[in-house]
Amino acid sequence: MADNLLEIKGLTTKFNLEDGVLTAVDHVSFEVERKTTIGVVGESGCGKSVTAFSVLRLIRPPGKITEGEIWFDGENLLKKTNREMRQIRGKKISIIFQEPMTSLNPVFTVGNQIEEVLKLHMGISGEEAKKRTIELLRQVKIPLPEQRYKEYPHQMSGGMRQRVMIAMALACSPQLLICDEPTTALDVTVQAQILRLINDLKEKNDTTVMIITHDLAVISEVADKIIVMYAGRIVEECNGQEIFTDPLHPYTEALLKSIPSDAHRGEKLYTIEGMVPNLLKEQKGCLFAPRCEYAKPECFETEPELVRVNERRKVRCHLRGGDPVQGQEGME
Amino acid sequence: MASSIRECVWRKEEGMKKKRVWFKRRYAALHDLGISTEDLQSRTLYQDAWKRLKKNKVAMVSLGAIIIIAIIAIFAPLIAPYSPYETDPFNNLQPPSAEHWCGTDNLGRDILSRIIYGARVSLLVGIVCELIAVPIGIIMGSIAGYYGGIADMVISRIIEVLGSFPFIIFAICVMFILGTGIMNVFIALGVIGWLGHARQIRAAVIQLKSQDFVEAAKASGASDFSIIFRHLLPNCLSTVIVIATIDIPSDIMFEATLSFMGLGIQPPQPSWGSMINEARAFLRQVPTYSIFPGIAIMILVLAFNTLGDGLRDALDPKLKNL
Repeated sequence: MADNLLEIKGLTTKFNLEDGVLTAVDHVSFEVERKTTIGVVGESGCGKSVTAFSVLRLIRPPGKITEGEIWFDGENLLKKTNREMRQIRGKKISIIFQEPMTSLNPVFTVGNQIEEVLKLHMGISGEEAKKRTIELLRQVKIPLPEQRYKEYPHQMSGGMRQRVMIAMALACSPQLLICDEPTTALDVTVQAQILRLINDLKEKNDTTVMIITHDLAVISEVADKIIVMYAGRIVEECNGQEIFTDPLHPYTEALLKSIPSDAHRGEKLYTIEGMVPNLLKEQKGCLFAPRCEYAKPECFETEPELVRVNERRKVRCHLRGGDPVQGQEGME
Repeated sequence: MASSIRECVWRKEEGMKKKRVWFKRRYAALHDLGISTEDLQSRTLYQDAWKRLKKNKVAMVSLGAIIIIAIIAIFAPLIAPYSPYETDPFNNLQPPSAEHWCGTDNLGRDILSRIIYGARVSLLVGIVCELIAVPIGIIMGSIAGYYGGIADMVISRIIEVLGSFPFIIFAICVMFILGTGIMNVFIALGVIGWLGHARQIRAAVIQLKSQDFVEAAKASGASDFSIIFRHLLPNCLSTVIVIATIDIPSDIMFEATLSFMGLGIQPPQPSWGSMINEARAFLRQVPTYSIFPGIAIMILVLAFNTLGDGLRDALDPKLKNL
């Protein structure tokens, strides 16, 4: 049996909005093995960030986790009190946000802000905290860390701030690092640096990493396991990088086709027709069917189950046969 | 497909290498020029604000006036030419003269000396009332803003109910219940002065709490208490400074009003408001008796008002239409 750090079972997160109940995450189950990198891919609004926030229990009203279990290191996080959760956040599970420009408090120096986390979880302060903070800044490859320690966030570039956020997230050597679109707000050269940095630090500290992104290039190469989400559901799950060479779900295929590449230079870029379904409305059949080029009449009638195709891969599509995944039946 | 992605990654790495070389060169160039990066000192928000304030002449004059009045108030016994309590029945109701620059009152006391001592009361009222009102306002406002829901509803309703009362009538009621005296003036004005602060801070907190850095603090395990005091309040400190300064003159005016009505500072202690009240009977004979304390109130209130405006412009340009 694999050594799983994080096991999510049937997680369902709903938002009670004025015009109805929106199910942002619908019975999502997956496991993350220790010291691996998992990539969660999907377009905006498919529930990938909500999944991450659910793991940290940071869903704010009107949102609510209605069902499921989140097992982290052998403990169910949904059974924890708020006080216990605060001990876990930042110490055992850290998160890096999408927007480095606003994720730091503008009125304190970056050194001060990293020290705060150290003080909160490790109980170290004063000179020792300062030494450790400068060490962390050096670890995330910020030039002149002694000088940067004294600076305010507005004096730094986006890439630099994201490095500070990483330093802050890694301050207490967490077991799980969640990166919520860590590179979206950065330009391409900096993106590569940040990704490499996350990867290096992961190797060095034996951290488990969960990368959430809509950019397939980001998780290619680094992810040991990839989950493709669509409209709050997992549509494809793959241990390894095979989805890039052999996508099973039409949605994954369409996503890959929409990446600009040299082979199709000059041609019109492929786009997925239609819109993400309105999750407030009752849905019938496969949620991707209206946009799917292979859709059969059956696809509009019943929703497919997430089925296991081989030992490494699962998919939710009528076009692919396979054994139903255990524990998934009857949940839809 | 994978090849195109690999190509993309490869390009990113190429770009990175170039950038790294560029960075090295840049730091080398700085070193060659003998510019240590240590010299690139940072300026904080308050240093910036102070710079802006210094450019505002009116505000600087006001600040000067307040400092002078404060010095006069602190060193009143050394500066005042006479004792404010010393009566001289044979020289009462004198117009200004070389001996008594502002004349004397109905008991023959030197008006200038009484004005100098009265500055103590006015400044003290302004400062102590804000010292009472600001903490209450901060606590109530941040609780309402941060927690929202029922807490917000209860606090907002309290603010609305108390705020719908005419301020001065409320203060008169409190003075009536507690009795006269300077301590009770502080309480009466402080107890109601927090309403406006709480409303401002609530609005600022609501705006701030959806910022990413608050979410980030929560994700790193910070408690509500530390989020409010470390992340929210320091970010609205400039708002607090501005609203406190803008409220000081109205506190001074209310003290003068209460004293004028005989509910505030009691004779023989000199207060500008009570001096005007006493001078009322002699308005025709010696108009200067009431004019000089009036001018004193006007100067102090005007100074605080213009300083408040200047601070607002320097610290928080967003509040321009307050």
